[in-house]
This record gives sequence, structure tokens and C-alpha cells, in this order.
Amino acid sequence: MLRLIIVKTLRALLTVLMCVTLVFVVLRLSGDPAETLLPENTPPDTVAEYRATWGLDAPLPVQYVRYLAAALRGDFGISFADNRPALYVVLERVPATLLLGGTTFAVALLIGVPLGIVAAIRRNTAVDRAVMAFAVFGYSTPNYFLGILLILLFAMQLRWLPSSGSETWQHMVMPVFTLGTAAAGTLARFTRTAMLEVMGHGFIRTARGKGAPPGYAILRHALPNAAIPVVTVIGFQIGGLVGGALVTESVFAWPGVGRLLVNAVSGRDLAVVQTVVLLVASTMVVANYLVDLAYGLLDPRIRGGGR
Amino acid sequence: MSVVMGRRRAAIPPAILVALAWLAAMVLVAVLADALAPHHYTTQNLRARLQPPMFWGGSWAYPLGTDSIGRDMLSRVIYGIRFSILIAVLGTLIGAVLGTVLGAIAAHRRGLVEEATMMMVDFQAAVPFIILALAALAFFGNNFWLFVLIVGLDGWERYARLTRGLVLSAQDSGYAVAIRTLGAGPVRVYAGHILPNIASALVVQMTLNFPGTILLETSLSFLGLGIQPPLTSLGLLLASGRALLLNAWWIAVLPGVVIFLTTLSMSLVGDWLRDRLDPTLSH
Amino acid sequence: MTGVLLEATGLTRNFTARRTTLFGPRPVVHAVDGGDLALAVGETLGLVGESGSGKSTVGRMLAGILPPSAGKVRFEGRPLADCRDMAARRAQARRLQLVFQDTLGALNPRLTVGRQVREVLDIHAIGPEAGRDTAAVAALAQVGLDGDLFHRFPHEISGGQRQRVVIARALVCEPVLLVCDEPVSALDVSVQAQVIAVLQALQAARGLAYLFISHDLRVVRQVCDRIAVMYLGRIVEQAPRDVLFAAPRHPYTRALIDAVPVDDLRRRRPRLRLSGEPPSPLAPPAGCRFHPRCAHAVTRCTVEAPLPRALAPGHVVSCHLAGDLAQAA
Repeated sequence: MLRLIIVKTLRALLTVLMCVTLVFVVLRLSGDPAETLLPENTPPDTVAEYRATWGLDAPLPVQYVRYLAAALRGDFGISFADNRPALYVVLERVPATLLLGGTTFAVALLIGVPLGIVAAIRRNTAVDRAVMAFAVFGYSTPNYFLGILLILLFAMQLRWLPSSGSETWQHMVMPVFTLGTAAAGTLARFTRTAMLEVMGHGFIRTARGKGAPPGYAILRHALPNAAIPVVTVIGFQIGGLVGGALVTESVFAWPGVGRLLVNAVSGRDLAVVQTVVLLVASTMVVANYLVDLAYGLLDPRIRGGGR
Repeated sequence: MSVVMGRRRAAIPPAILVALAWLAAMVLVAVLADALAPHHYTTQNLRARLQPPMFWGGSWAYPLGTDSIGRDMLSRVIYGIRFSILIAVLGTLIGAVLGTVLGAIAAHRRGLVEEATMMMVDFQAAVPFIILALAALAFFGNNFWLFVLIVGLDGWERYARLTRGLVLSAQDSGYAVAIRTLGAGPVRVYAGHILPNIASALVVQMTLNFPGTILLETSLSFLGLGIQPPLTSLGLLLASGRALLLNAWWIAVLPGVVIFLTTLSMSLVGDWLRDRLDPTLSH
Repeated sequence: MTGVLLEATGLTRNFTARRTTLFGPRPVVHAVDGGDLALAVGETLGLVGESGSGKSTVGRMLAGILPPSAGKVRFEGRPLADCRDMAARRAQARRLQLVFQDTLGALNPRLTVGRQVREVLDIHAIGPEAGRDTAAVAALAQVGLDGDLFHRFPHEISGGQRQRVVIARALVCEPVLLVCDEPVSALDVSVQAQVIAVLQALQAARGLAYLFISHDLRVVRQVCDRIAVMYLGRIVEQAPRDVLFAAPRHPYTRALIDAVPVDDLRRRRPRLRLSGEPPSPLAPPAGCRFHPRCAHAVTRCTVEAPLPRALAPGHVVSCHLAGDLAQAA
């Protein structure tokens, strides 16, 4: 077990390193970092300072090491937009995205998983079909379209909810719904499949045969086993939420990292872009790593180590 | 590895038939766009600006209405379909070929090559691709073919992982061992035997990936970072309608409905194919 | 004319199994532990044993598709071709072939039977391209299969027919030695007879040599000239067929033979029963591997592995007590 943890940790670290290296390469390929990572109006001696810190006139391996060192320090360049270090610009916006993402994740979980369970229990009935239809519609609808439709209906026609900004909880309703529909749909589907598979297993029927009430069988036996694949899918959903947040934040003018990235790409503010990429990539690798570990803990087959 | 079944045709559910019909229609529209569109998608007519669609107060001349500078929405949507479908198909093919080849090489070579490839796969799977796509567009600028390449790279890792797994099990399968014992070289083994037997799984994966590819392209175009004017895409159309949502909802809603129906159809068909051919695949 | 066609010395094969504990060495399965075999031209050597005895592993090593962990195999006087040397392997494939146990698995489910036979001709460029389909049909005819099977798929024909297809495919390149891994085990008894007849006819016509791997002693008795008996990775006894069945010297061989339902009721012999469970190849017993189940085991058997000893020309036994055991007639 310990060996497994060590291997996974190393792999995660290696993946992050690979990402950093990739960004380094791409950054060098797109021009002189002194130009791409610093705004135009930077005074020449500041530029010279950065050139020295980043080792831009040194051979490539030195530059790479300097780059790694800079990354560890949090030095990713200066944002064009407001002349501040890119890291601060990005970190400022993280809370907003976390708020949106976290709330959406919780809501999707609270809606999707129970729906999936219900669908599994009432399999092949109207309830099941309705839930599955909702799920398919959920993850097929482009989230930008859903957002726009919601704005059209609730903000413009009905005037119940605000269409942009993030001041009050009403501001959150539509973005969360937009972002979460796909996740909830996928979770519902997945939970249903996992539950069905587990419920079909012999030991569930045995529990029922022993006279246990159906609820008991589900809670005590089916759910823990179904939890394993669901945990995996939750890991994937986190990635989906991050990607979806990008578009959702743009549709609703939500002041998060996603919107920042989109603007940075339009403006070719590479300092911010690289910061966001590295931040997101590391977060995702860590998230997957934790899910992986959780998976290993939950599944006694892996825990045991042997067959 | 494929299960040997007798020839048994189950009926196709009506929902799938409708989905297939829609997809066929989309492909037809994409191919025959020049013949079908009444106008070119950039033709302006400032005197007919912001006309609503036919049954909402508009006229036959512009069945789906017009936009803020009088361009015919029907034509714009038709060409939007063409560009979006074209890019999605090209992208899917690029991703499928790249992923399959890498996966096959990883399975054939084993060892370090396999480890490196799988780490790249893990990395690609870990990070939401749109972030990487945006980063690439930022770093390299946006030109059409780069964009197609980026869209193509979406999901390559799923093909790679799938192919690697399938090839690994096929390598041990009876017929691969047998034909190698009989003296066949690796090319014949892979191209002649293993690949045809895993082809159906790859096709299913393509249909499962396709909606994601369309969504990626339209999302990027919607954000203004994908297809650039004067070319058009369904995502771009949607974006252009956003500012006019209250007055001219059709500019945004119509392309959106088209995208939605297409991705929905593809998801349904993909799921159905997967259930029929190989229930062990995951998406 | 007899000459040594295939010779194996010290044949060993280990597999490393999955680790079950965190530290310590990885468990090693000694699937085959130092065997010597020889096969003459035109001869049929049987290799008999329970599942887990290592006989399939030996077959694959002798056919050249699995490299031995130790030991040497010489075919027609030369070492077997290296796995990576394509040209040498291809040339060897024309002399030495393997017939598989799982016929449904050994055939590509998507290609017709005829095409798969023909493919061998394409691989080795045998004959003019135009005539290869006809040659494939002829090959099928040689194993008693009708020409219109050419267009059938593997799942559309019976098990016995499939087995013959696999044989035909292997023989198309005209090898001199065919390793047959449980060729009739999956077939009904009546169909077994057909396939065996085909194998024997082909041997008579072409002077083929067979390494016949099976767990079924009755079949082995019909087909083989000499027989080698394996237990848990070691060859415990080798003898000409009649000698083996009349006077087996190793207790395991005796038990195996005694377990076969006797059709000749006049022969009575005290039945040697096997006791205990077949041990796991992960932790084989020390000394003679058979000793935990052997009724005659003595202390020596628990510590010292018996070496092969020739009791008579062509009769080799690995048992400390061979020759001393009273042979009840």
C-alpha cells in the first residue's frame, strides 16, 4: 500500500513537471519572454533585471532551471492589463471561481447522485426514463447556449434574476444552473449504472433473501460498492467543471479565473495565460491524485495488494 | 477480442432513428451548402435588418430572419453548419489517427515508450482541454489550420488509451500469436489482423468523442477565439446574437438549437452503438 | 531413417508473479524446471501431465514462441531462431509449426477459413499468386474438409472442422515438426477419432514428426511412439509407449495409468491412488516434487530432487526408488 502511494505521488509530481516543461518550451517558441511576459511600457532597466533573473541570455538549460526556480517563487511575469505580477492578478480571481465551482459541484452532487439512485431503484419506469432524459439533455446542451437561454428567460423576459456580476446570491443562480446541469446529468447516469451493476450482484439478492428490508440492502451493501466508480467519475467532473467554468463565467460576466483567461488570450497577455495554465494543471493533477488515492482506499481489492 | 455473434438484428429504437436522420441531414447540409443557401453568408442588405423568422412576423424572403446588418440567417446557419461539421469531422479524424497510432506504438514497443506515452495520456486527461487549447491559441496566435489541429487534439488520449488496451489484449489473443507463429511480420499482424478487429471499438469512440469536439469548436468560436470572421461557425453566430438577445432572439437561439440537436443526436447514437457493439467501453 | 530432429536440454522457464507482500522478493513460478527431451524424424512424442504441469509451456518453448529462461533447444542441428530475427523466424516457421488448443481463438473471427489458410501462402510466397486459393482448397482437402468450407467463417463451422482447419493452416508451409497442444481435448470423443485419423494419415504421407501434448492418456496411447510424463514442471518419466503402459516405473505415471478406466478387465493391478491436493507451482515441495502425494516416499525424497536415470535404453525415470518398487504383475 505504501509503495502504491509513493508510486502515485511520483507520477503526479512527474506530470506536473512535464506540464511546466511544456509551458516553458511553448513560451520560448512564441517569442522573447522579455517581450511576451512584460508589458510594453516597462522601463528598460526593469526589463534588464528580468532578463537577468530569468537568465534569458544564458544557454537554454540554465534558462530552464531559472524558469523552474521562478515558477516556484511565483514569478510568472507581469500582466499587460494592469502592470501587476501575473500571479496576483490570477490569485485574486480564484475565490470567485472557487465559489462558483464549489457551489456547482455541491449542487450537482446533491442533485445528480440521488437522482441516479432513484432511477436505479425504479428502473425501467417512467421515473427512470425521465431522469435519464434529463441526464442526456443535461450533458448534450452546450452550456453557453443554456446560459443564454436562461438569461433570455429569467433576466430579460421575467426580470427575476440579474444577468451579470456576482454581488448577491441571485447572481449565482443562473451560472450555477448552467454549469451544473451537465455535471448533474453525468453523475445521475453514472450513479444509476453503478448502482444497477451492484444491485445485480449475488450478495445483494442474498441480503434481500435473508429478509432484509430493501432500504437496508441498498444503504449497507449497494451504495458503498457503487461508490467506487462514482468517486472516479467525480474526479472527471472536476475537470469538466473547470472547463465549463471558462465559458460560463464569460456568459455571465462572472469575475473568475475563467473569464480572466479568455480576456488574457484575446489580449495575448501570456504572463497571465501561463499562470492560469500552470495553476489549473497542477490543481487538476493534485485532484486526480487524491481521487486516485481515495479509489485505492475504497476498493479493498486494491488495498489488499494481492489477488 | 470481439465477441463472435450470430447475425441478429435488433430493432432500432425510434429516438435513434430520428437522431440518425438529423445527423444525416446535417451532413447533407454541410456538403450541399452552396446549393442550399439562398444567399452567401456575408451578403448584407441593410434595408432588411433584424427581420424575424418566417412564422414570427417575417417573410419568405428570409425564412429564418436576418441579423443586424441584414445577412440572411438561413444562409448563415447553413454555412455555419458546414464549417462546424467540417472542423468537427477533420478534428475527430486527426485525433483518432494520432491517438490510435500512438496507442498502437505504445502497445507494440512496451517499456519506456509506453510509459512516456501513458504519462502524456494521463496529463492530457487530467487537464481540461479547453484550457490547453486557449493557451495554445494565445501562444501561437490563431490561424485556421492551427485551430483545426487544436480541435483535433481534443480527446486523442482516449483513442490512445483505448487502442493500447485493445492491442495489448489482441497481441495475446490466439489469432495474433497464431499468425506470428506462422511467420507473419508485425505490419501484417497489426494492419491485417489486429486493427480490423478493434476498428468497431474505435468507431464507437469516435462517435462518443464527436459531441465534445463540436462543443469545443463552438465554445471557442463563441468566445471569439475560434473561427474568425469573415468565416462563420455556429458558435460565432451565437455570440453575435448575444447582444441583441432581447430584440432579435433568433440570431442566437437558432444556431444554438442546431448545435444542441446535433450534439444530442450524436450522444444518443454513440451510446446506442456502444451498447450494441461493446458494452465494456467507457466514455 | 531416424535422426534427431529436436533436442532440448535443461529446459527451464520461470514466470514472475504479482507481488502479494510489500517487501521481499517477488514470487517466482517455476513453470518448467530443467527438462531434457529429444524427438526423432517422423516420430510422435507424447507429453502428458495434469494442468499446471508445464507441458504447454514446454510446447511453446519448443515451438520457438516462448524463450526459455535457461537451457537450450536445437532444431535440425541449429539453435531456435531468436524472437526478434524476423527472417530467421520466417524460415523456421516453414519447418516447425504449432497447432493450438483454442481453435476459435487461433483463427481471426473476421476472415474466412480459406483466406486464413491462403494467407500462410502469401506470407511465405509459396507458389504463384494466382494459384494460391486453389492450393488452400487442396490443403483443406488434405485434412478431409470440403472445398466449400473455404468461404465459411470460423464460428460457422464445428469444433472438429476448426481443428482440422488449424492443422491444414499449419501444414501449408510443409513443416517437418508439428507441436500439437491439446489438439483434441475440446472435441467430442467421436470427433476426436476423426482428427486423430487425419493426423496419422498426414504423418504417414509426409513423414511428419509430432510433439503431442495432452492430459488424456487414452488419446496419447493411440497416437504416440514415445511418451514423456510431466509433473509440476519436471519430466518424471520417458519411455516408449508400450513400455510405459506395461511397466511404468514412476509412482505418478503408475497413478495416472491406473486412473484410466480399464477396458481390459483381465488385467488387475493394485490401484495406486494419489493422495492430497496438487500443490501450487508458486511453492513447489522441496526434493522430489511428487513426494507429498507419493505413497512410497522416504526421507531422501523430501530433500533431494531425483535426477533422471536410464533404467533401460530409452526408458528414463526421475525417482529415487525406481527399479526397487515391486512391480505387481
